[in-house]
Amino acid sequence: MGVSIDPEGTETRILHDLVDFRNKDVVEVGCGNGRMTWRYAEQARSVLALDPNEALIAEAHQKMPDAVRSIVTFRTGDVQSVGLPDEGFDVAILSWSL
Amino acid sequence: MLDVHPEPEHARILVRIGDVTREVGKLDDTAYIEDIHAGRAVLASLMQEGLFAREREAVFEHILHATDVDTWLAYREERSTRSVLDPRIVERVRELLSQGMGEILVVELGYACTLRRLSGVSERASIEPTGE
Repeated sequence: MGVSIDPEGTETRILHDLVDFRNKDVVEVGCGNGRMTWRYAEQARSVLALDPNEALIAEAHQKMPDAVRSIVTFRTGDVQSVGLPDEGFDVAILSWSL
Repeated sequence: MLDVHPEPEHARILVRIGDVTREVGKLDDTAYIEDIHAGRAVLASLMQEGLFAREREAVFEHILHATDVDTWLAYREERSTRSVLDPRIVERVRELLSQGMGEILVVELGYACTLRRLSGVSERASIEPTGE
């Protein structure tokens, strides 16, 4: 018994249809527990995933697949509170956080 | 930039038992809808100012599946959702699910678009904090 979000994979198809994540440096704003992060992170070069909710970030750390551990960094905060690298990113994602 | 957010509509609640799917009602997503319109207004102003241009967009169904009412309600509680669920809908869902093995579907429309920063800034996007 449980809850599953988008087992149809529609969101994943849309993401990859709109963006080529291969070898990109990505910042994801509003990552929550990483639910959407897992859908593209394996293809990226790096992912900085931000969310102001500390509990969700902790959940994301706990659930992070081994395949993306070297790629994804989760941080609690937002773009104003987190120190972002000067070199910027190739892709910025506003993740269900508009 | 890739922007993914819900369409400003109330999510539909359905119950599927076997091959039969019935719409039972809708969540009251008024709080989210107001925020979505406000956020879209900000993006529209950025495009109007010539800072970004929308390139591609898509609308898609984003579906939550729950096996039973209690699990669904616990999930909502855990996520501190601001959407309002009419207790009469909950009872109707329970009634339908008591008739056979089935599931609850909450269908939200998602919107995704890509936005490109326009000339005058480097191709590589940097996120600059706004504010005073």
